Amino acid sequence: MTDISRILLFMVGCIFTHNVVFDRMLGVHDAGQPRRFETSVIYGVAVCIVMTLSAVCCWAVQTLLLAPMHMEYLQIIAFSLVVVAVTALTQLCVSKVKPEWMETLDNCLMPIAANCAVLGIAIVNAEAGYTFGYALLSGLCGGLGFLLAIVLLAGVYEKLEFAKVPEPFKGMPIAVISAGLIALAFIGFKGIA
Amino acid sequence: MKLHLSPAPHVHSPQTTRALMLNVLVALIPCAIAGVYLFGFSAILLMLVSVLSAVAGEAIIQKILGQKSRINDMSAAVTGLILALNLSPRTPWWVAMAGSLFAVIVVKGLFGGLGDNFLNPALAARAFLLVCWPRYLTTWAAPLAADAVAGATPLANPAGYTLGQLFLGNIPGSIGEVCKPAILLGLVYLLFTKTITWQIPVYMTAFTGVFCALMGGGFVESMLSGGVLFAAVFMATDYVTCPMSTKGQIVYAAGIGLIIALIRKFGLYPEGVTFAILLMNVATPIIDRFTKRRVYGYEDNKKKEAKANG
Amino acid sequence: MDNRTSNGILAGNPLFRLGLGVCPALAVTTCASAALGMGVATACVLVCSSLVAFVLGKVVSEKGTVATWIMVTACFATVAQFILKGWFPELASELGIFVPLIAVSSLLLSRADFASNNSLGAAMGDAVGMGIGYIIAMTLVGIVREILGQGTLFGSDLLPFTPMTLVALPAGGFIVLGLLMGCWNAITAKKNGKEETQA
Repeated sequence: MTDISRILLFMVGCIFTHNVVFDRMLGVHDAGQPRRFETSVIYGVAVCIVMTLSAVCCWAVQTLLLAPMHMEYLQIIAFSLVVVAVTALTQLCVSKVKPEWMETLDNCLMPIAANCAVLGIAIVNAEAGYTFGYALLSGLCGGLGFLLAIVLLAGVYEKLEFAKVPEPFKGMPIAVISAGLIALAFIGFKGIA
Repeated sequence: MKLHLSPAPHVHSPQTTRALMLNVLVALIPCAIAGVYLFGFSAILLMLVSVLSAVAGEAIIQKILGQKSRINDMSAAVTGLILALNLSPRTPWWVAMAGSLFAVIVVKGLFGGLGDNFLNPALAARAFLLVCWPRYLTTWAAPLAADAVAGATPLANPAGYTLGQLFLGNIPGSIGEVCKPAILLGLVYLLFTKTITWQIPVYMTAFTGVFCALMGGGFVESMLSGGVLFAAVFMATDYVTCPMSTKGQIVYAAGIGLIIALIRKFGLYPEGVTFAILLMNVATPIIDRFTKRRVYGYEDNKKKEAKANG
Repeated sequence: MDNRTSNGILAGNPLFRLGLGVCPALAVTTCASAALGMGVATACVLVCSSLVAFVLGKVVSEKGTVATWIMVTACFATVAQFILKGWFPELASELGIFVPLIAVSSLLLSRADFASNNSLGAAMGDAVGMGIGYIIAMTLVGIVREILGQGTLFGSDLLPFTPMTLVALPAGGFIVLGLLMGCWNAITAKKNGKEETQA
């Protein structure tokens, strides 16, 4: 297999087969928040940026600091610190470059730091022992997978807005079941990458 | 004030729903007869169990949820029959029953009944069964044979069958999907009664052939093997879960074709039709969003604003 | 029992009613024992971090709360990982990355927020109630998924039929959790309705 096809398969795997929400079950709480379609797209892109940057930074912290000094036990604290710092930095940049985005997102990106998909992908990368390139791709495609998931969920939620959902199932229960049915459809990607 | 807004403009009243569903049932008769001819008594048993448990399940869930009973609209019967026609003739009866109950209760009932589900119930049930009990769903029987003869489907053994066999249905496979003339007969009836339009079946079959051919399969063979034709006529065309505009339907059909080709070529599961249509069902609200005619989109936003403000 | 504590168990159950801590409830609930272990670990970290958040709440400025809570929970998650790896290595490997991810659990962060804005009694009552509620909910999901998905309960066989593989997969986790949430809503709503009519 050539390098390019291996990389393509890795990307397809990260976006679809091992989708952060529907297969790895990370960031479900965040993805499940009801949002309008436009908000979902902007939020998803913001998560994608934070996830890519944290994947890269956490890789650097892991390979250049923690591993050589045998301090892997500090991984959780170190990675959390990196994620918080990256999120704060992203918030600063976005509010300078795209102030209208910040308005849509209630002027705060900090909830992204609490999205367990961001920290989760960083830890997955460290455990898999990826090289720099794969860690970067894993972060980027994990983020794209999250974007795909919340956009699909937003579409389904908009359809559900007018549905006659029975009272006890309104809101969260039907949202979780919808996510489950989408995850059922995603099982079809099994075996691809 | 409570506005009654319905997402899809198609289903107007129980009477018309009933008429449409009856048309679909009639169109399924040739497939059912062909299935019984090819696979014998077990096919009848599966269809009966599946239809009865779908109707009973719908009645029970509507009773529990305190909704008005709508089993007269026949949609549960259609779901049950389509599911049965999608199963291998050697599936145990209780598996068919579990699938029917999953379809009418989880996929449809909890979302508010017909028109509010975002996945096709029969397809979701088939995917559910395929993942739950893969052994039962992929044990095939040779047609026109004594009970114990197992066979490999054309997808597992592409060189084993001629085009004529693929077309006439003298091959192992699901009860309703093997006999292509019967499916085409059903298609003609559905088109004649204006129950469906020609776009989705034609585009979906054609795109599947093209994408499979691009990935190294045979153009005609890939259209005739597996459940492509049956799904294109009876399941991809479900009003509730397919895009409204023609442009949207082309995107939808192309997506299905591409995913079928990908799953057949690279995936773990031998047949991708079920998952491909489900995935495009999930994408349908998004496709609709980008392909609806401008005027409708505008009105829609106005309505939402009005609703949010008052 | 303190009113706030019982609220956390039933009507305000963190998992079934508030949708907090969903990710581990999907990922590590394929068998009941792992689900119970995860519930207990999370509840212990919850009580500790709520206590610290209550103290720090007087000092931290409005803007830095989320960051502070994440660092607090990260410290306790590290301790939890030490304990699990040292004394329960099998459970630790079963829970995998979801032990470190306690650091960003929505349950802990939202409760830390609550603790910092309330009195010590309220904060502790809430943390204990939420902790117990979470343990109960996790175990319930674990029991249902283990019986349906593997045909066993706490590792011992009880096989009424061929297990449903789907239930052990992520998709089945979502569906089982959603169904349990709906049932929980129906039951607690009925109970509340009765209490209202009595009062």
